[in-house]
Amino acid sequence: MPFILKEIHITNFKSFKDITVSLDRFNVIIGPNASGKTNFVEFFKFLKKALVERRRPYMPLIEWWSYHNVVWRGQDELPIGVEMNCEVDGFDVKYEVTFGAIAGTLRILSERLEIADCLCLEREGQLLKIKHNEAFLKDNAADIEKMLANFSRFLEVELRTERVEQKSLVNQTVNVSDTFTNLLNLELLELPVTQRKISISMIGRQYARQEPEKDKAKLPSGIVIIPRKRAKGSQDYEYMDPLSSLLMNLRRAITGFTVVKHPNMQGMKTPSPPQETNVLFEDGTNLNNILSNWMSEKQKLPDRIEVAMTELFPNTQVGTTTTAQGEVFVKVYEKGLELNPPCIADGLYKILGVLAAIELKPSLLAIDEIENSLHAKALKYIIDELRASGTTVVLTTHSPLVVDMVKLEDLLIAEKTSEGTTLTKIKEPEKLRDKLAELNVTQSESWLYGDLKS
Amino acid sequence: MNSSLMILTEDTHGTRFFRQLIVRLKDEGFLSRDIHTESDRFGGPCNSKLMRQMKVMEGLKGYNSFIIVADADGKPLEKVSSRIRIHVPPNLVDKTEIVIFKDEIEEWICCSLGIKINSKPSTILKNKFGYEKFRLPDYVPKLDFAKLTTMKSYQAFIKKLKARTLAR
Repeated sequence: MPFILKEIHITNFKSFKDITVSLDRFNVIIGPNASGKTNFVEFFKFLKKALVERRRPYMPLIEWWSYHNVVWRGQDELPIGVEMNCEVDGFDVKYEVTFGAIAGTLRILSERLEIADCLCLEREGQLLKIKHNEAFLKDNAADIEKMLANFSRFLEVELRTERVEQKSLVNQTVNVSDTFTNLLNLELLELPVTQRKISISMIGRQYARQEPEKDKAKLPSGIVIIPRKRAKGSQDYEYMDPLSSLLMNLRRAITGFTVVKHPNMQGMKTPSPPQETNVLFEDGTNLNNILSNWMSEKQKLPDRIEVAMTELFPNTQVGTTTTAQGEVFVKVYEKGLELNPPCIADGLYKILGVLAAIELKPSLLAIDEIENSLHAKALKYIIDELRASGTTVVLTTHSPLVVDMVKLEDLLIAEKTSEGTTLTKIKEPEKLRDKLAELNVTQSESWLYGDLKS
Repeated sequence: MNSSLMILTEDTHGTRFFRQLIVRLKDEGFLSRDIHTESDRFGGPCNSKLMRQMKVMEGLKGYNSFIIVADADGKPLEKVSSRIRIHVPPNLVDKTEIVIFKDEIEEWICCSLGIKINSKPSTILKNKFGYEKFRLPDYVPKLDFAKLTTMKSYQAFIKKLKARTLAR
């Protein structure tokens, strides 16, 4: 997985005034009703809709009605902000965005993308500031000089740029009006180089060669240099420079944020027209399509699902079939007895939904109230599958059973304070474990009758 | 009283793995077919639910010996073991054995396949074969018991398995 979200800082979103949450690969949020657990899950949906949703017209707030309903205490004048500290393509990346409402429409007010010890891109309005780390430039001065010299003709003759001096790389400002919608869509032109350690790209010149001669000089121009390195498992776009690849993988990661809330059982059990899909819908209503596509491709469901079905529903086979009109639906055979959707257990649908979401390998999987519809044995299985999935998982739960199935280190305790929702990790889990052992009480008992935080 | 052994593991796939392993050990004569053996999940080290779980398994389901298997995850083996032992019901202490893996059960697979363990075994397997945890039981037929005799965790498991199954 080329993307790992390590920490997220949210400001002014719903019940979060200002919180920073360190995420592990497996996270379980607990807390009373209305403490803000679901708001945390929803934030990932908001971010996805606001940054990468391709639907036109662009209306990312439609399900929340308006900005008023997503901003802290309905204070429309406040910006909503996020800072994600993550690993992308092996780089430590910090990506910050602030959103505001302009004439009722969500707009990006500013963006900042920092690649540790190397490069920072800051965008405010139409201006993009490119800042290179001086130590990084110094360490690679000889290589950069060589590359700039080698390609001066390309730069000056073909793209009509002025000669680039190394010292000018520390701080550059580029006017990027209408060039892109946000940093994740930034398009770059990599200079044709053979340097293995670093890559040089130009911002705003990617179409220069197609421009009429007289207009070339008017194009925006900025140079970005980053080291070449690839994390294992990253999407390796050979035709793409490392920064474009990093931005593409960050965009793909946000696109891959998967939020699962309360399944719409009626919708899941209704036959669906065939369609291509690679992310499970929040209410699970495209599960029929996901399963049917797998069945069409390989004549069987993925091993992960087959194994779970054998373990949790012995003597049961699951597949998909089509109606006379070509719509697809789930079919179950229990000891030879054919069961159509109205006769299939809700729990089976829920399990299929969660396993399908894992199998689609999302960059982050957030599931609200994981315990709904699940028997303890199935819950244990699903929790173990989620933990072993390798994906960053965020669960919310009200279930003492779940609290006892996970480690104290996994828990994030949600509380609503006058300063908004807080999500707190247990500070000294080892000490608490000893205390619980001494008292001979469980984690859930300590949560329900006492205070896990203290 | 009939012999019945319960193997408790930390996660569902470990439970499935030991269920398969017991079948193979019985098939190959390492373990008597007369001993009823099952495997289940427990909540992990230092979880007082273990005591209730074992009481139910003994009192209502008739299990009269237990092996508890857990990962050390880099912690001292003895510390992890003692954190489990404190939650074993006093009347079952003599009927319970604890086996701690230095890393995790996947170390048996690496050893059997002749793979050098220089990082987390499951990560090595993932990078080499695209291993996923739900495939753990699929590796039971690939375990090489001769090679595994060099592994402390395997030696401990077999020794404790014999101790439990020959005890009655």
